[in-house]
Amino acid sequence: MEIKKEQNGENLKISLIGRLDAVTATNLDKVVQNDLTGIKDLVMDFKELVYVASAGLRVLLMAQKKMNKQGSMKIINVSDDVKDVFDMTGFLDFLNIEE
Amino acid sequence: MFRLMILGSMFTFVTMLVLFAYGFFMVSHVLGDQSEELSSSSSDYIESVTANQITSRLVDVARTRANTIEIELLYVAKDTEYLANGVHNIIVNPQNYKPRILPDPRLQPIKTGEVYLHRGAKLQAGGLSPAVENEIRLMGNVEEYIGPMAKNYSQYESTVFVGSKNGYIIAADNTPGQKNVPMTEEFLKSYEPAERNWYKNAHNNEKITFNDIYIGSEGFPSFTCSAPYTDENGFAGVVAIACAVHSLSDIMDSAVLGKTGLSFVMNNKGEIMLSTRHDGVLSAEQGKELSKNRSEGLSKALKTMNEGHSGWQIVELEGEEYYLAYAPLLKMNWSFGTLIAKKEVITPAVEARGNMENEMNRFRAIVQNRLICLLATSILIVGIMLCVMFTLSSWLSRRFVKPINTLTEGVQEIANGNLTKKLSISSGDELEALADCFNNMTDELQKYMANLTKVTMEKEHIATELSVATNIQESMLPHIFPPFPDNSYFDIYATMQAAKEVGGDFYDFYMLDEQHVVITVADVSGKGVPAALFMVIAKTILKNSSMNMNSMDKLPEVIASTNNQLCQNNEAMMFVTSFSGVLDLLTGRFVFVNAGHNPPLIYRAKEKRYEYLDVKRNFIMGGMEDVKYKGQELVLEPGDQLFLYTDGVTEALNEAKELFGEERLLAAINSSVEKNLDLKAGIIEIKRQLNNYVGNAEQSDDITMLALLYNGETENH
Repeated sequence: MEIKKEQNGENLKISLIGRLDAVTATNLDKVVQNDLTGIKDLVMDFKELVYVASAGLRVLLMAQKKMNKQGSMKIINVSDDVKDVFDMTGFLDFLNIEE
Repeated sequence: MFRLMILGSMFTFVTMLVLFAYGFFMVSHVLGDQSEELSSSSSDYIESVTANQITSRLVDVARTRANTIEIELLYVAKDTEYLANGVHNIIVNPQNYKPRILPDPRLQPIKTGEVYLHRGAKLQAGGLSPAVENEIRLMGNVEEYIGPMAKNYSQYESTVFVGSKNGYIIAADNTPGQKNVPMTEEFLKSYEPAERNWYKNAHNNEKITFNDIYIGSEGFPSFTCSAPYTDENGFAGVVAIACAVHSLSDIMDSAVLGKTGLSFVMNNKGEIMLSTRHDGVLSAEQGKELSKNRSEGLSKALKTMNEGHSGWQIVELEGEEYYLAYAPLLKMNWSFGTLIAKKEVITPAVEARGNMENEMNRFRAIVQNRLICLLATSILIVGIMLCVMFTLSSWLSRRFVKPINTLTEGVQEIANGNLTKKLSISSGDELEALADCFNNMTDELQKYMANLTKVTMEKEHIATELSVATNIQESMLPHIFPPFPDNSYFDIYATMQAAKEVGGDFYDFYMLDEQHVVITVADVSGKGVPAALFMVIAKTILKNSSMNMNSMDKLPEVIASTNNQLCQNNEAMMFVTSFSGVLDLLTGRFVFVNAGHNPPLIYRAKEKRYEYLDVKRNFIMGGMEDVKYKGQELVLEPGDQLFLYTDGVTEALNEAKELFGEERLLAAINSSVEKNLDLKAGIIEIKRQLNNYVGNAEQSDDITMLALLYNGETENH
């Protein structure tokens, strides 16, 4: 999986490309742990994300919880497959997903 | 490599040597040829140059000497004419002169340069007539001319005199070195002027005459210039000036070149009058006979000389070749010639040829000596250099090859696994550096291998612990089937295949009481030890919470309570998706909560096929506290089945990274149903199909499946 970051002051856009599975989730975990300091507005672009495993959901959960404390987070361009996962796991209600 | 270099150098040296030797012989050969040619051509050149020089010089000498002699003689001639005129004046003008008595040599000694009067033999015998006596006294005045004139000739043997037709002479003799003029007896007694050639010649010619050289009465070879003088009656006598020839000898001698050189003066009759030789055909003594005794070349040359030409040619004289140069004395119709033997002229050239050849031979010998020395030195140097090179090459090979061999052996030993081997090379160059590098490398390898051993041991240790953990985990899952052999209301079969040693999936089933059984399939986010630990916690809490449940309708509360407990101290944000349900064995009522889990499949015996259960979506457990979970319920008829699984099944990937997917799962499970397989065989069949699909791709997630068959109340019960 590839992670692209575009930071503009307090705004950060993270684009995920590929599969967010148990292995690649650790990479995103590092980004969430280290790069969210001072960020008020986090946008996650899932346009090219094809799959999210449970380990990936955990990182998204952490990111959402972190951003709940310091600003806001939204996920854009969610594909149907990924949305099904969010739906099944109840994440649809928890995450701020922009249609 | 060094030997190759040596061989190359040797080849170069030998080639140079051969080239040098070739050059040496070429130079030597060319020197031989050239020296002969050079000496020959140079001596030819010298000969021709010498011949040119000598002939032009001879001609030059002939011209200048002829000119000089002519001037000398003309000077005498002028004096002679002057004297003739003076005598004539005295004779024709006797009134102007007193009689003068001159000394008589018979009576007194005559001093040199003193004018005297001498009577001839006839006068002495016949006595003097008065006329003659008067004339003699008058002629005494001639002293005025002769005296001063004789003084002009005083440095020569010379005589200035007047000879009268009447038989007396008036003269002044110059005898340098002698006070008195020696008079011979013959002269004093029998002298007759008219009998003398100078007198006869001038008388016959009636003009100034250059007489041949004759031996004068004084004993000197003399040249005489004579001229007639007249009185009123015509011819009266002859005046003459006689010069000793040796005054001209200086001029003649100065014209002589070399040892064989000679000069001569030839008269108009082709007779030699003067010569620097006293013998041979060109001597004055034999020169009179020249017309009888001459070679053809000489004859021709003398003829040319007589004709008044100047020039040069080669003549043969007494068997030798001579260069002859000549020039005319025009006034006298005489000719001057000078000769030199060709041999003498050419001798320097011949000598030069010899010298040149000698010099060239000497030069060639020197060059050859030098070249031989050089050759020998070169051979010696090459020999020394070859020795040095061989020594150097063996030294170099000792210096380079030995360390390289040591290095090679050492490296082979290292390659064979002896990492404690240390290479010891102290050549002080790159090889030593290389050996040091090898030593460093083996050190690093040793460290690396030690480290690797340690890491491997740690890994093995961890793997051992993980396999222990797996055993513990697996032992925590109910794994005895059938689990409730005495209970005929239902049957359960379940498997869990972890992707790594310790999985994050679990299944569970247990009886709440005799009437209710709880089934759970759950998936903890992530894998490995953290997931396994969380799984243990989740399983334990869920079971504990469930066991305290007093009504199966309280299942949502149990899930909510479990969620809250899981959220506490969940710093790692682990969470778990689960499907839990409680089945009333008597009624077949099934209450279930789906907490973010995959929808199970339900088999309706009536329809004889599986389909996905429509589940409400609840949030996962452990993600957030105080989540409300909604329960659902359904009623199982006898023969109905439930199939619970984790996403390890639907999200299994084949080699093309494609998901197995829910549709394939549905197809697989229905195909197993059609085969009327029991629970265990059905799950094995699904697993087989899944394995076929995955192929050689690595298992990416835990695969957990649980199947439940509701039998309802049976006759056995």
